[in-house]
Amino acid sequence: MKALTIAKYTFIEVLKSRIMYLSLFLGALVFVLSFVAREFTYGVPDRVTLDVGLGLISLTGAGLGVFFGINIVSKEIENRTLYMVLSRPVGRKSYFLGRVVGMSYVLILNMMIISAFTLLGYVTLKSNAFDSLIYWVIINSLIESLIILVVAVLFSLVTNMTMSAVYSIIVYVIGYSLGESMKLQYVENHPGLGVIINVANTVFPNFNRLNLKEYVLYNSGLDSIYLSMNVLYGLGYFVAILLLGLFVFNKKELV
Amino acid sequence: MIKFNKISKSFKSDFWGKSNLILNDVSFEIESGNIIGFLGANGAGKTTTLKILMDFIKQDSGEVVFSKELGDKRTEINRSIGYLPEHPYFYPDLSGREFLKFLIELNDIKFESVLREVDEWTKKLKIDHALNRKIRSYSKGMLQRIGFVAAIIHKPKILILDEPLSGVDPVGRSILKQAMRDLNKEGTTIFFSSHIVADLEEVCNRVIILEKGVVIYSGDKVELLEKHSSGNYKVTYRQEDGLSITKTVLSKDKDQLILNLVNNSASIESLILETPSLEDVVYNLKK
Repeated sequence: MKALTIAKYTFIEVLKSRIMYLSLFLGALVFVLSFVAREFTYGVPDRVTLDVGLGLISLTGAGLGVFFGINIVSKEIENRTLYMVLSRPVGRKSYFLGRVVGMSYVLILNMMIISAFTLLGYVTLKSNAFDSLIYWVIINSLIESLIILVVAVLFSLVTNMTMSAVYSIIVYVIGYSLGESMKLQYVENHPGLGVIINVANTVFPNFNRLNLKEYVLYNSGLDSIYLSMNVLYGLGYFVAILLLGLFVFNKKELV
Repeated sequence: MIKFNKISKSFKSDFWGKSNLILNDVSFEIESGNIIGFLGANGAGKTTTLKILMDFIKQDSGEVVFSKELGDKRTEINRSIGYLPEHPYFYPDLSGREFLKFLIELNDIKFESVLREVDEWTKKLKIDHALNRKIRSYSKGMLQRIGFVAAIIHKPKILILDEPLSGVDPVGRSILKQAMRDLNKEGTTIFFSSHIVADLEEVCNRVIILEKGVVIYSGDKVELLEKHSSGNYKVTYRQEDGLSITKTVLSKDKDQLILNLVNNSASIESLILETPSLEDVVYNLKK
């Protein structure tokens, strides 16, 4: 209950700040870039628009996830704002969950704004039927950004804000590279390396699994079980990192 | 009410660095109904002590014991505590009113039920005019005042304030000091840290003095001052011709002087034991 109160005021605070203008700007930028990309292509302008748009959603989502994540708790410690909250009958768990949930609301709202601009760009240009798989791509991008958010929070609990941002970006890059690296001939020829990559694949989030853009671009259908399993994988990873963050925050000295 | 029992705490500047002992076997007691001043120079360990008290950091050794009246669990204890941190920075994009509402709701109290108290205290602390403004626009003194209101609005049994008067203008200091006295009269125990001796001397009745992580005095303020008194008395009397005279006499000579004055039909206006200021005492204790 306390966590919800904290989440509510975290959301209100961010909503009243000028950060929301950023997502409007990013949304407009995604729209313009998709349009510009379309102008430089022949034959499949709607596919290019979608490719650029969905790609930018993933990138901006990750960027926002890092930005919000490193600010959730570490800035509160730095500014001493959390002392007023934790001096109330509020457990550390409620505080941490409230902050993450509140910031997740903000992230979801931002992603919805940016996605709306992308879809607007696509809808105005599309020549074929609207593929419902696009929604799944957006949902998965949202989950991806939520994972990055909690990863950034986790790093921010053990290091400074700059290094947290750097480490989170590294995790994002690794999350996209590991799956691809398994397909390399070199890795196939070295089974030991394959084992190491497999272990790393378990530890790091597999963002390739959440990226369904290719299926939309090439009109490949996906069954609902596969889609649901992907969402469950993403959410499971989000919860696991959240719990790890909760554990670290519980033990942290709030100097 | 709260007992600090042999608390030690050290910090490392970095992972490989040597640890610095900040608090060394610190013991004192916060007794109910008092205004207790927690005095120490910058870096003496006052804020670290308060952070341990508030469970923001853990001590290396020793224990903090809370009386049953404050509650058993930490969350229950926090319900009985009002806390204002040093240099308060609150959520800059919330308005003062939203900020108060937020903290009140965390105490499981409906904001609507404390509107009268909010109105009374914000007026008393002269912050009522800025309640609908974003906290971003508040000055340092205004932040201290809104923080003070937030710390007391749920009617805590004990108020813990970390340097509440630093950076506040003279009018603001006077208002905050009066507010502390008023709250104490209503039964709130007040424990506040400061490095400004004059502020403490004015408000508190008990003092705890911390020097380089060690408690060098814990007890009654008047007792401390009297203990360090020269023993001289200042006598002010008016002669028959109307002339007012003030004399300083040694303790052993005061009775004889009074007798002489009475015999000479002079009227004695005051007889005061000369006590040093708390600042002088603290300076001497540190030497």
